[in-house]
Amino acid sequence: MSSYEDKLESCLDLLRRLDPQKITDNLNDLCTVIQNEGSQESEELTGDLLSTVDTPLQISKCSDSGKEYLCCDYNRDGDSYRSPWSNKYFPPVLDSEDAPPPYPSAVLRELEVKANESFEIYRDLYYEGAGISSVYLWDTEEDESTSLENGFAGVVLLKKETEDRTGKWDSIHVFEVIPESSSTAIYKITSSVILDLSNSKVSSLSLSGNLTRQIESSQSLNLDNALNLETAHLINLGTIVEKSEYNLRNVLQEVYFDKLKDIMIKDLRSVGDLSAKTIENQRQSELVKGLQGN
Amino acid sequence: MAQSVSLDSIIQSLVESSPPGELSEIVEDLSSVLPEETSSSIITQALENYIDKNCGIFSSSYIASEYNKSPHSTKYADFIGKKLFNIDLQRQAAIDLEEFTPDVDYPEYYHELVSKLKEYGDKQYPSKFAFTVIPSPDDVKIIVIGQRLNKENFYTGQWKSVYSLKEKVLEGTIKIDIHYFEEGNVRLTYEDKVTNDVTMDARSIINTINTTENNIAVKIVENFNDLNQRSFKNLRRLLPVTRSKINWGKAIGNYKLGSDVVNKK
Repeated sequence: MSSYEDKLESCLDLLRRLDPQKITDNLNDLCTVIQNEGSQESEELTGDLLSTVDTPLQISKCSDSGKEYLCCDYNRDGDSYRSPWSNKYFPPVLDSEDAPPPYPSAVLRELEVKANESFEIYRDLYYEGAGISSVYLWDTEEDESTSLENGFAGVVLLKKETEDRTGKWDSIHVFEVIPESSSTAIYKITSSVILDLSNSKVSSLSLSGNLTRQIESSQSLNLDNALNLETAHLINLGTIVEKSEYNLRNVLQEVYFDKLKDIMIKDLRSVGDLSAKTIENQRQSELVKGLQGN
Repeated sequence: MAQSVSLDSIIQSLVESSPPGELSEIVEDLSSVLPEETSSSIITQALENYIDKNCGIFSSSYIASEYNKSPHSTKYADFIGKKLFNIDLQRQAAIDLEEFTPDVDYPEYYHELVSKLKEYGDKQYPSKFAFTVIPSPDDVKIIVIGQRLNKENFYTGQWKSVYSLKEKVLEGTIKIDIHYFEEGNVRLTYEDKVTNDVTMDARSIINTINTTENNIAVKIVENFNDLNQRSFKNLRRLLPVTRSKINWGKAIGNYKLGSDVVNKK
């Protein structure tokens, strides 16, 4: 019998291997298979999977602001998702006193509002006016802390599709801010981009998948320049997300367009005549033999 | 029993989206997740279906597929060496080999085609190369597979051409499937169908295959460039139009949403 950790690791390995274009279906299928057992452990396992595995983001509409927002496990309560624009859940969650849906503390919500404003500008500048962005923050301390000094966590989401629908981009940056000293904090960020490219009008070539990278850095919260703590966090978060996404975009360019093409031409089937290369290799090995005195 | 039927079809659909070179890892993962009493027979069935539909290479040179499945046993037929074999999925090996006498006629060009295909593969396929030619009363199937499993460097890939030769027409389906999985999961898939007139001799068949596959490789390289220039570059800019990174903090108020600066391209 496999242990819980073994099972979780096997599920994650499976989802790293199976077709990434079918990630949402495969994740749901895998959860169905696991839940078939009906044990307490299987409930836990599906919960862990749903919160760990990134899938293309769903879009919801905020009835209060009329604006669209992005959905993930971090703004979910049951089947409802909290809007970053109005701080309300859609479809509305019935407020029960026993189990109210989660909201960030008042101080954190203030920061969340400003972070959403900042990342809308970011989206506008980098995604050329298109796409959707959403930022969600949550408290990491049990007793909903009344200041930002105890640290917090959050997620920055961006989604865009090209006008001709041949390119789809979802980026998911999950981060944690951990206080280090009175003037510094550690920012840990895990960034994933799900990128799907195919132009069925031209050919059936499809490049699809996701890449993940992590950055951890200690940042100054130096408040000398008449900055408050909130502004310092906005600057640090903005800078680190911008840097992480810049890096990932370069890695995506390398993997999707250089690596895959190289594998096809150099490992699978060469376009031109191989003989010239083979002769060169033979010459090389003869030369090596000669040097070894054989 | 309705539930177990649906479990079969779920496992089937999970296995169907496996990369061709990673079946043994998929089996290991599925066996660890599924309750033991149900798993092994369902997984084995799903794998057999996968091999029949997608072909597989065993012991480096034997190809198993729906086209050479023996009608009289669970075995597959190798018409080149006139052998029947079973497959060991875990070891990727052809086992239980036995001699057999095919009850179909071989076309005249068969042996020359086999030797020319071997030559062709050594020349055009830099990594593992396997092929087979399957005569049948309806047509002659030619299967060509180039495969590279480089798991230490986090990738596997396969080029597979399946041709059907009948009445001076060569029809083919070319499929490419590449999986790259270092800190992620990226998949390239490609499928194309081709039809060409041929003379029924080995030389003409090989030349047609070579030209067809060269054209497809060149076309894919062009498609790569198209997706890069048209789709990828239109998703996210490398830097904003201003060519400098963002001034975060209060200064961000100086940027205006949807302003002219942003929309000027």
